[in-house]
Amino acid sequence: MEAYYKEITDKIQKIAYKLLDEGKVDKIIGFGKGEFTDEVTPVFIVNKENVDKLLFSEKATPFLAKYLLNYKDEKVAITAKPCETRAINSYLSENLLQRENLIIIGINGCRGIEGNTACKECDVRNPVISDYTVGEELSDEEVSSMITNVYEDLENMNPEERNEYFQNEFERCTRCYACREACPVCYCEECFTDSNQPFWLDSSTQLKDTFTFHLMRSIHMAGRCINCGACEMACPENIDVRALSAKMYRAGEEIFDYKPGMDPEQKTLLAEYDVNDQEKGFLD
Amino acid sequence: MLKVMNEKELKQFIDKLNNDYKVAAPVKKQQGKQEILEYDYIEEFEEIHLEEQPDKSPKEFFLPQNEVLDPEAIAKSNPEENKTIIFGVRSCDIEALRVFDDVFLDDTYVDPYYEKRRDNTIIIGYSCPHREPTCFCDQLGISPHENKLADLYLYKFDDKYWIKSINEDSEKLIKDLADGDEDLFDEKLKNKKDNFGESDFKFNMETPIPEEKAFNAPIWDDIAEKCLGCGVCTYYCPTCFCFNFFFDEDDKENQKYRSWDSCMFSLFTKHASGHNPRETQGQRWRQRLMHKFSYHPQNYGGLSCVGCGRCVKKCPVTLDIREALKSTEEYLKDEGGAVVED
Amino acid sequence: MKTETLLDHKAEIIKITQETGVNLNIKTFRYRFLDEEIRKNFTFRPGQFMMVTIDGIGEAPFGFASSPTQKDYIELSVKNVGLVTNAIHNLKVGDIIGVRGPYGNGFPVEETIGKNIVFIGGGIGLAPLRSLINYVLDEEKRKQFGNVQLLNAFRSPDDLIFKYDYDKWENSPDTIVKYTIDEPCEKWDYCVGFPHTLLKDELNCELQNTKYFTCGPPIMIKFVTEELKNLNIDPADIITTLEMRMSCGVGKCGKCNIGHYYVCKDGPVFTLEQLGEMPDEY
Repeated sequence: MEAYYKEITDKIQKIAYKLLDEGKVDKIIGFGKGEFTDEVTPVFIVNKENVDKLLFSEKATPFLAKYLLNYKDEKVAITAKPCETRAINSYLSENLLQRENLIIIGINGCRGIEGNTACKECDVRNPVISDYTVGEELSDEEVSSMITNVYEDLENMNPEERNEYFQNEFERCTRCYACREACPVCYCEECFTDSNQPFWLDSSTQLKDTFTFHLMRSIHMAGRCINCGACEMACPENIDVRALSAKMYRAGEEIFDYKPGMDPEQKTLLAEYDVNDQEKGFLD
Repeated sequence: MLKVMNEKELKQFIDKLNNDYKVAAPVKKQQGKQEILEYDYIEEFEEIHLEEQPDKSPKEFFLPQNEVLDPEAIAKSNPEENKTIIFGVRSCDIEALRVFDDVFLDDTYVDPYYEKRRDNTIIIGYSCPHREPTCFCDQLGISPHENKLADLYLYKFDDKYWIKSINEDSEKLIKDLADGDEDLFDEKLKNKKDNFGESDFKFNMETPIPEEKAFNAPIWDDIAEKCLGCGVCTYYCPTCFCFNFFFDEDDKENQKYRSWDSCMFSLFTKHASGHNPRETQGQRWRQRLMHKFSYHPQNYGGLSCVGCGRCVKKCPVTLDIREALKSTEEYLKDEGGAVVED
Repeated sequence: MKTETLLDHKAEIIKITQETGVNLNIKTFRYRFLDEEIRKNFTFRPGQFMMVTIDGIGEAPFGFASSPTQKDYIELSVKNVGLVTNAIHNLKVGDIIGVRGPYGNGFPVEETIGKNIVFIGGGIGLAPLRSLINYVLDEEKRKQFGNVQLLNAFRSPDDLIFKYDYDKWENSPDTIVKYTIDEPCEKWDYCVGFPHTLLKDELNCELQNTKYFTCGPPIMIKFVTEELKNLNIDPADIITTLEMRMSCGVGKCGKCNIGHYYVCKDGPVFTLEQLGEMPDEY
């Protein structure tokens, strides 16, 4: 595997160098290594001499797509895992980014990131939008064969058991908001937890407040969560933060046959209204 | 006073302490898919795990994440008759108490909640067995081997545990143990120090960092470019103490609560009018670093960072404070007239 | 060595004055501590501030708007901008609030004794200045200070605050009071224009033996202090008071610091000389 990732790294560096050399982009957002640690960390390259900092491996934990929202009016390139390309589609479909400002270097056939349980459920292992791709694609059969149901045990529990499970998990939440900040589709300018007028919930770590935060956040994720696992990787307390939003993801698929982030023109699941909707809802 | 024990004697020592006091120590806990190492009250000596740096510092024993501001309740839960002993605290976390003492015991306004806890807690330090890759306490003038702010200090050499009393009060806790040979101890400690190794990151700046030059440096946006703006670094930092107040809507008595806050949050300094003096993440990161290496030392004398490295370990994107310090140092060096000491 | 429990004392609202029209929404609240001992012994210096708590909602800092020479009550002026101020605006006479303090350094009263004083207030900025104005013009204190000039600036005639004090101020010995609004208006016989444009002509700005106190919106403070500096007044004699988001008010919670200064502990009153040494983060 190491040789495979080395090959991808080399290709990424070559593409990056060309892009900067030809002035096609002002900045490249990618994965790199920390100076004093071996952890993979986001890097922002502006000089073509520094492209050797870029890399890709199974340790590429950070979720980069969200940084694009900080450079809405600049020309940037980004090395993107397939899940990140879905986030980019979401941004495009919500008019947050201009397609012509982006150059997406997609990673084909992503085998998953170490420690991320979302990768075990992943059903989109090739980029859904890209300008360049590196690595070898995985076929649909290969992708299906790699899927496991991470939440099988949780699904089989009865409601009381599940409640107990979540209470155990959220009890240690410190309200650091790492999950919210890392999540690619959590970008409200004022999050409901920070809202003061009206005031929804306390900043305390009492269970009733942390539970409210996580439940409400996953409701807001419905139809938007791309099941990337950035939340669970970010959580410093190893809380199973993804469980609720992943359920939303599965519900979207099962009930509405909807997968967010597959297409830059895609309509949103819950924010669109069509007069031909089967249920009239509150207009009855 | 210097005493020495084998492991069995150490167990007896801790068990005895646990009879007369409430002993807390680093223990392993299963959290979700991973094990975490944090301080908690122990029942059995076997629960204690000293080999790695605990994920959490004992900060919560002194400044809980949430507390009711009720002087009577705090006094009741921290009685002088039943003090807490925190066992196995490393030098970085002990040094952090100096920072807390600076702020919460500042005599213009003494914080009675912190004072009660601090007065009724005894610290038994533990000489770090080895460096971790994220540690850089040695670069900030802190020794990982011992710390004068503890009450007792424990050292492990081979299979023997040596314990030293730092002040007169703590002598009574160890006076019944077997005496240790001072010369042998000194030799073993020197050996440990010589073979301990140093941090890869070198900190060469004179502190406090010059406020005006560093504040106006154009480096902060780059340093904070990957910062997500969560509160993980500040919550796991043993010296971070920023807080806020809140009321619990279910509390009919309307008691006042204090909880941790973080300068990394975007709304930390936002005025009701909408004006926010620190609007960008770069400005907020500047506050964090300058507070630790410039403002706190200007006001109180010592740094407000202890080099424990937890912020690096826990950061979701591994934003490394050491890289930020290096950028600061390079900028100040280029500007001339700063601050590089040998 | 002082212990700070961060807990408040209860006080009763005894009078509410709607200062301006509903648009700008400034009310002045007059209160009295419930506890007799505290009522007798509570004292403060002009320019200090208090933290006012509304149970169940939150707390916020407010400058004392009345002078400490007024022993029967304490006043604060509140503009309705957010959660806490909105809750305060909904109070009625007889309601209970929590107050703790006084905090902050206050105005440099001792250094102003024997000097002439110029006050330049803009809008609600006049409220913290009023604690010093009423102190200086108090019958028992008046002789300690030199001549006094006030320039009160407001956006329009609707925005005038403390109108009930104007007679008293104007009739004080050796005191000149001027008023100005931004744009000309019918039935307005006083000055027109931003305060910094009127300093040279409307006020007698001495270089020696005079202290200048100003407070108002940040942009006004900036222009007024610039103009005073242009008139060669020593920055150590130009004094203003800052506002910041505060939680504890005692230099611990980390919200209000500018560089290594805490606005709550080292301020909120600063001279222009001090501001010059501080980073630009407010």
